[in-house]
Amino acid sequence: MKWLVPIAVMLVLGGCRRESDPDPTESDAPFALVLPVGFPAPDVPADNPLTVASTALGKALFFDPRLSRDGSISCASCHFPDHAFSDTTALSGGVDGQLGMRNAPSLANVAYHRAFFRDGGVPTLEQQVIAPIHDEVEMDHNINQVATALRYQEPYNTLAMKAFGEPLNAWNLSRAIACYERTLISGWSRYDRYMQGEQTALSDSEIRGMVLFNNDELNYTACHNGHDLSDHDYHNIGLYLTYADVGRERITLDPADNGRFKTPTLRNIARTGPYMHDGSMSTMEQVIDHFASGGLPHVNRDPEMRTFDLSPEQKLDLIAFLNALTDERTIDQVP
Amino acid sequence: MTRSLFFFVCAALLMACRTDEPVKPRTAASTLRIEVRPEWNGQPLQRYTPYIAPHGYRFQVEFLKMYLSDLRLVSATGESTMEQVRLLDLGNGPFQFDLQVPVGNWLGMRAGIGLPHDLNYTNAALYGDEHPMSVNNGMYWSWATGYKFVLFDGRYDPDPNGTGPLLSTFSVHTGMDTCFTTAELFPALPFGTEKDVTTKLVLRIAVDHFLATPQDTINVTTENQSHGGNYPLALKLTRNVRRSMALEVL
Repeated sequence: MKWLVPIAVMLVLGGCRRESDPDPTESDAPFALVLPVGFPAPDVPADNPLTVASTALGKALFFDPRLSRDGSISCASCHFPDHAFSDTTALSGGVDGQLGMRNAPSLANVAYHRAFFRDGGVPTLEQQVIAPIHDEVEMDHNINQVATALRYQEPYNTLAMKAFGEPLNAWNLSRAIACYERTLISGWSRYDRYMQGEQTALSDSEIRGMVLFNNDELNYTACHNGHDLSDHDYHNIGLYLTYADVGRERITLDPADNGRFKTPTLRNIARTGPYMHDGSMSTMEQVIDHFASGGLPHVNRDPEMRTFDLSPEQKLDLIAFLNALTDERTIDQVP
Repeated sequence: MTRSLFFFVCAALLMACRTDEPVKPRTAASTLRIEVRPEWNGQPLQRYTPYIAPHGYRFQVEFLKMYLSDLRLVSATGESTMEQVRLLDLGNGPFQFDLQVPVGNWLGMRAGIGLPHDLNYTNAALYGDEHPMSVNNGMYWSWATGYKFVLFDGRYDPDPNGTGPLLSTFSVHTGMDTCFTTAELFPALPFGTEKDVTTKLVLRIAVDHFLATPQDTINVTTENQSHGGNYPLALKLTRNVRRSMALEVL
């Protein structure tokens, strides 16, 4: 019966591991998130720290079209890196050419958002990941099935074991993509350099535009403020008298929230058109004209909406300033 | 020596691959078997069968699911938690499930209809394929991060004299914190649970009452859609669901 001892040891040690599994005890390093000057450290959930492996896993998943039912749509299909991770069309296309109901927003600085989607319906980035995978007009898939299908494929197996100490599953898939999205930090524009004291970073026209932007009469900074140039709150800007998409009301069921949508960041605004929650405006000129008009008199129109007049030259200056909010380097920090 | 080694090996093998199953309460020594009977007018509910809804409209049930949560046994001196969450699929006829419960004398049960806030807003990716809160069950609203508490889908004929197929859709999905309510399920007589004995209860769910109780009536031709909105209808259905449940001791 001596043979029983080595067999027992082998069985116990090998019982729950596949030969191809990487060593789960292999250490994972914290991800060194680089922040622009003046940016606070974003809140990161204690149970989902940024690590080299988790962010790399998230990035690989973000660009993988196998997250969609027919293998045609990845997160990056609607969130283009060259456009600050926003879409270039009014409404994003999903599987079978179906159109979504909203314009895909930029993911820049989502690490600082308090809630997600334009109506703030989802409180964490981790939970947000589920929605596009399951939405029948986006990826039309199932996060459990996605995780099962990719579980033992590389690089997912190695990265998931390293990041989470277990093979890929829905839970760590959602956490990994959230980790990657938290690294998409935007704050390296000429405007930022100017604000840090580099006087020549902005042209005279851009400086005049910045002064206009900060002008109380135009009142842009009522909502577009802080390091992300957004209060991340919800406002009705009088885009319509009757909103086909009820916005924040969809979540709160409060009629006072009808037509209210989350303030988008103005960072990289030159690259994130078309604009508005439904992508109904294709140029910055249209957007400025809308705000100058004060918007339509919807019952929930934000009281901060004010009419103002701009000369053609002032409008050009304002647009020049908005163009200076474009990052001069990629906002993707994950190799 | 050999015998003890053999037992060690067996124990080690059994423990090596254990999943994290919920730990049963130490006092659990009895089994409570609950038979769920979805009914329409006192008869077993049949999906895709035209029934008569309030105001005489023909109506058929197609999909019907609901969550019960925080299931507790109630005694004269307190409560005992039996289960955190259970998904009832009422569209496939009667079914039963067993719960491990303590020995005791009980007046009845309490159960949440829907999910309490903390459970409702957890990350749905946490739950594997077999869990009642798995996204696979079609009860998760990913756009609002929460679950449908009651999913009630069917079809109706807006013509009260019609005889053709039922084409108009009825789809009412309740959810959000405001639609969470608690069912008080007290049978006519108390019941006991004994060691190593299975106690049988019947949970009757009168699905026809979902549409009509003395307090709330749903006109399917005008009140037929709710997906996180249309609160008045969602709350009306919630109240009727609560009133439609009755517990009996077998």
